[in-house]
Amino acid sequence: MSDVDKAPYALFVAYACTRCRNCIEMCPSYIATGEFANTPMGRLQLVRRRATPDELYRSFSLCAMCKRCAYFCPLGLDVAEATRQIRGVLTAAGRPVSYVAKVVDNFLRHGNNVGMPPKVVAMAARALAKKIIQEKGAEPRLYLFDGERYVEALSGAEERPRGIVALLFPSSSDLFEFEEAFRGYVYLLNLLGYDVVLSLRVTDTANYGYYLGAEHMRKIAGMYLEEIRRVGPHIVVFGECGHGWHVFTRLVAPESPRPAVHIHQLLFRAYSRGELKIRRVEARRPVVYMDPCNYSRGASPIVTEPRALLKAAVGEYVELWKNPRESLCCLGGGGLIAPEAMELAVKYWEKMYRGVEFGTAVRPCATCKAQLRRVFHALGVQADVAGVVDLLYRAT
Amino acid sequence: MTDVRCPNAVVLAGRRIELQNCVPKNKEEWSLELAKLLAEINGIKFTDTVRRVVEYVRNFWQQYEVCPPASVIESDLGVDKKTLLEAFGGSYGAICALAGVEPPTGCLSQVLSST
Repeated sequence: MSDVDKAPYALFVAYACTRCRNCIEMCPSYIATGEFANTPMGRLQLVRRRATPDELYRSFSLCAMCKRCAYFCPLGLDVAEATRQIRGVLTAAGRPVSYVAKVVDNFLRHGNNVGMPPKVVAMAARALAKKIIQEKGAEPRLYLFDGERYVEALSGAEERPRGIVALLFPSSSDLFEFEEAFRGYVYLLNLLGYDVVLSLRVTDTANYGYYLGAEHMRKIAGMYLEEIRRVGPHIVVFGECGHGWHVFTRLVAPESPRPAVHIHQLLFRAYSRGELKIRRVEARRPVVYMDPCNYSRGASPIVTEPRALLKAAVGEYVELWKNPRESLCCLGGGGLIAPEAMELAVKYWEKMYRGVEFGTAVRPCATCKAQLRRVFHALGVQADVAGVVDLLYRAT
Repeated sequence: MTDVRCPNAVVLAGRRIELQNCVPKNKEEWSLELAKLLAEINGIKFTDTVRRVVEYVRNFWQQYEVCPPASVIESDLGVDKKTLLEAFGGSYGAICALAGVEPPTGCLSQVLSST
């Protein structure tokens, strides 16, 4: 039995493909590289002819897993899923995508992609809690849980949350780099009446196991579930992260003993009921909204909520595609946010986004924000990069 | 770290130091002198602020095996984001490179922001 036989969905779509070529020019991987082997159809042909592991690696490691092919395919064949399975086969054969493997290793050891041990997570949370006081004048109700005890984030004193508890899974990037988003999560949840708990053992929204293989994906999903069970919150709140949300809604939320929601869903509900007042804020114009792939094409769409919240905060904004499901990937998915893929990203952005004027580029996903920030920096584009929650933080 | 210039090797005081992504292959070979040289190669002026940040990051990494978030540098050293950004030419990757440590992984831009 060849290894490809362990990728049943990949084989199925490889034989189901009618080679209509609808998936070629719309594929970000093809746009970036110009190679047929890096198209959904090209990838399926590799599977069908049982290509060597080297060939499979070269092609499938460059798939951004954005699901744009699934939207454009007349049969709805999803090559992101094929990529997931083929990568699983490659990982089992000792050929994992190296950056993805590094990130997964960090998650398994420290509970976050960045590789921050619990003490560093606590330091970052404390630094950001201090900023909330400076900026909002209110002391945040943020508690850090190390698996056994709770400490209050600012003082470090042992203290359990007393109110209604929201267990927050922020993106570790929001804690590390896009910190206004993190301050937004905490501040807004506090405003809605929740005490926020941050786990020092699982401090992320991501699940790079999705990019590596099913075994790791399930293991990481299990870590989320274990933490939910340990904390036993009233609600589980998931931060801005595309692929993570896609996996979370399939593997974690259905098993969660407590309601598990995306932060946009929660804020939108509160806003619609008049419980969250959003005032207009200044943002560099034009404000451009772009759907993260796994929000508009993932398992559980997050499409209307961010738009309504954004509109409340900034007023008019620009859409780039007539249909959210057509949104074009940032080329950071699938692990392509790796530093070594930076040049490819710059080339791609130059090609695909030339002529688009950005004042504030809004893309509420950690990968997207990182990609935009580094590409804009490299190209000298003077634009702000934001999610939705960081804008709401300024607007409340 | 494509935004940081990292030679494969440098010669310091007559000694050749092999580097990978600015990190000495032999960890013992990191020194402030090496940081100064890498700063020069990257057009970063080795000011007091830069030296303080580099020493802090180096120590932090020795203790926790990860580069610190900018917010922690800001909070511990009292260096605000704007100063940090200007000192390192907007590159977070340069902070790690000068300190001789691998940049952190995940969905990060390796770019410094003032917000």
